[in-house]
Amino acid sequence: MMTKVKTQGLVTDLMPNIKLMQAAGHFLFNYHSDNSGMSMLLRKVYSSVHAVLIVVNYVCMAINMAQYSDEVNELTANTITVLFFAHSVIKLLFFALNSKSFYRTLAIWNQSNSHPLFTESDARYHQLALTKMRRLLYCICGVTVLSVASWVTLTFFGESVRFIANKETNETMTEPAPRLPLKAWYPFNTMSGTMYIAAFALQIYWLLFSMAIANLLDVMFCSWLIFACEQLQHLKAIMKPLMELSASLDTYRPNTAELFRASSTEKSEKVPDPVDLDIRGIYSTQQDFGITLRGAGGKLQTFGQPTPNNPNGLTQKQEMLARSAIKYWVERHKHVVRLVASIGDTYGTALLFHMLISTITLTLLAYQATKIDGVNVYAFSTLGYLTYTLGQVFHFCIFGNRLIEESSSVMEAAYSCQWYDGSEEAKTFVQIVCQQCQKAMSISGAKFFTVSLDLFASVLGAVVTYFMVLVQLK
Amino acid sequence: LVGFWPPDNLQGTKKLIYDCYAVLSFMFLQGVYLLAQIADLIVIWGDLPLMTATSFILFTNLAQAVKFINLAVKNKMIRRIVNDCDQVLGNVQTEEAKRIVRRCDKDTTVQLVAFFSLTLFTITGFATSAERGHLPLRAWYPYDTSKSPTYELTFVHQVYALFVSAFLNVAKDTMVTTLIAQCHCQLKLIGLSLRTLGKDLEVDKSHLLSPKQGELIRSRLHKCAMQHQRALDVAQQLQLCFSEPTFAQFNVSRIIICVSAFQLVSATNNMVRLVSMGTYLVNMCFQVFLYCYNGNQLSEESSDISVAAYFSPWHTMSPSIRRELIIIMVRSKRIARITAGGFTTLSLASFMAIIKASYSLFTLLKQVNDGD
Repeated sequence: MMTKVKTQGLVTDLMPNIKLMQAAGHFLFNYHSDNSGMSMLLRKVYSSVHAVLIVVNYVCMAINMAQYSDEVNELTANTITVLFFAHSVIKLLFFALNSKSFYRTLAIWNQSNSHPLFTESDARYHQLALTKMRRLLYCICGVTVLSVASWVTLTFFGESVRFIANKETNETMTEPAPRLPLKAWYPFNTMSGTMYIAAFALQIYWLLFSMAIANLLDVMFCSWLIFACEQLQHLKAIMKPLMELSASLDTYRPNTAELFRASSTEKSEKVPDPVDLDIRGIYSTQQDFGITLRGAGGKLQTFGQPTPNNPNGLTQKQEMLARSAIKYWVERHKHVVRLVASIGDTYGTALLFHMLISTITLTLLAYQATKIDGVNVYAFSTLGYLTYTLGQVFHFCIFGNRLIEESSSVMEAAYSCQWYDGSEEAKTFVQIVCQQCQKAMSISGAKFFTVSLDLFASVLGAVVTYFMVLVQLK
Repeated sequence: LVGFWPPDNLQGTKKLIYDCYAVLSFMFLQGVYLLAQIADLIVIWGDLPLMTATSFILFTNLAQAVKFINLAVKNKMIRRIVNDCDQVLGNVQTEEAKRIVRRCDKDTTVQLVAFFSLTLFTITGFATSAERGHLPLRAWYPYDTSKSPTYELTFVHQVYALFVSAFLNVAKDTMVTTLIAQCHCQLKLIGLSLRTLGKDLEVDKSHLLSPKQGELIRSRLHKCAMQHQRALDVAQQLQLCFSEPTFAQFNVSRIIICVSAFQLVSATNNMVRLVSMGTYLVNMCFQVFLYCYNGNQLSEESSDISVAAYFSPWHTMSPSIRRELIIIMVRSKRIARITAGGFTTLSLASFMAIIKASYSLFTLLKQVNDGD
């Protein structure tokens, strides 16, 4: 009976994703419950077998491309396919080489601070993040399966030929080629018979697994971004009660009788008992919790006798409460900043490669798209490639953009609370937060570009411009 | 070695002799070469492939000449920057700080080695790619170069000049980029000291520092602020010293990259030449990349000071200390940039822009050539 592996933080949230990645053959060897030498070896063998198969088939496709590079159309089509699947090979290699930094990023959220006043809000936003991550995973898995299915279906339509350039007459002829989803060179004859079925099955497996490899890694990246965004939402949501808590340093006055009763008890103890200063101890009284129960917060100026230690009119316990809440907010925000920095370090280079290859692919696709002459297999396949590639870029651009928006809106949330009622400490807190959050947190592709919707817009614009220019030239 | 960096203790007449040696050396290496190539360019004006063959070395040498002049003129200032940087980076105390300095050091060494080996490879390729009876590089000389011994002499001169000037180029560029990297290292150290502002200070349960601890933090913060001012001053001086030569370098690089790419494409049947053209192209790109990368690092690090200040335990400090921290954060919002002549900042974005500009020039050149 396998014991459930004890995971915490991000790993627990991303477990389905991690399991799928392990199934698809990524070199992901942590987070198993059973870490004995034998099963470790088995898993390594499993991943290596997948890796070898994927790379071998990829090389076969490349050989095919080199073989038939005389005719322009054939060459372009083959180049697009080869580039398309370069993503998978690169991502597989990238993960294998960089798995340490992936593990580090996943482990960053293992210990997070907590505060009794804010646990409910924390849990709520955590749950939101979890739902969104699951939904994204299902969506992308569905899209992958759908794409593979439609690819295989499309293979059975149209003529199964390849273009050859006749050297003498310099015109293109067609030559029959095996009806397989991908054009690749195999050392055996795949025109018909058992070899054909074997090659077909291999290609279906290959299509599914290589698309899954690329997409699952992207999903992990986007899930991290979703998590970071929801944490920022949580921080924004608790800004108002936090400010009211420290605004209470000047103006909170729940109930006259209560206040007097409390101050009289507080006045008697000049130095609070150190044992009682445990967080639970501070919040044990109803009065202390009265602030959260109060919703809008008291706005009456308290003119009761000021307690000896605090000119603000607050008991020492309430001041400590306010300070501990601020400490929670600041520590949590720093934790999010560290998480985002780690995400950027881990995945930035992969994004750079992805964008480079996608740019070249999209340029070639724009050229191919000018040759569409009707509703046929060619049109469907070109449009399919186009939407898939643009979709991949859109996928991480939209989440990168959301992160940028969320992180810069923290400053607005800090301003829109009632900072003018707060103490000096609260005001300087707002000031420092505004300074820090003016510059939005963003993910950059190894510092060359920022991942945002601007990037997607420029890519899309470039493709459209290129397409228009080529159409004109025809 | 070649007369351009006089040792510190030369005085009086000795210095004058040294300066003369410098000028002579310069003339021998560069002047002769420049003149010959310019003359050649004038002779073959209009024939694009031949023009590109001459100009790709010519422009490099022009840029080098500008850098030499700049070095000679701003000698004192540059020397002072170098000494100051050495002093600051040599005085680090903590283990963490030493580790940062060591890592920066390793980065710059890697860059230097890469640049050096690339250049070595390219130059060897050039020197050995000369065809029988021809010189490695096109140039116009007032005498007939196909007869020996003039052929041998000119050949030797060209090869020698090529080697020495290439290595000088490497040295000059890496000096500038290393200085920028050192400034970046200084800023990193400041970031570290800001982050560890509350080191070894126990905060009691009230989450607030005691007045005595507050005073300690305040003095540490003041030290950080002074270091920050000094580092920004260094960046300012680097900008003053090296802005113009970098501008010349960038403009020249745009042309050179396009011209070398053109040469590469209109390939000769000489395999070694092809390979060496390829590595020359990579070398030129790498040169520009080095500048832009280090400038980018500097800018990023200067804005990271704000983040480092945020990561200090400021929520335990009293409002008056917090306000001092805020002033540091506000200043670091304006990044420290090195610009090339005031036109382009050194950053990875401008590197992409240079590559794009060269590529457009290259396509234009190809069009013009194909049209002829």
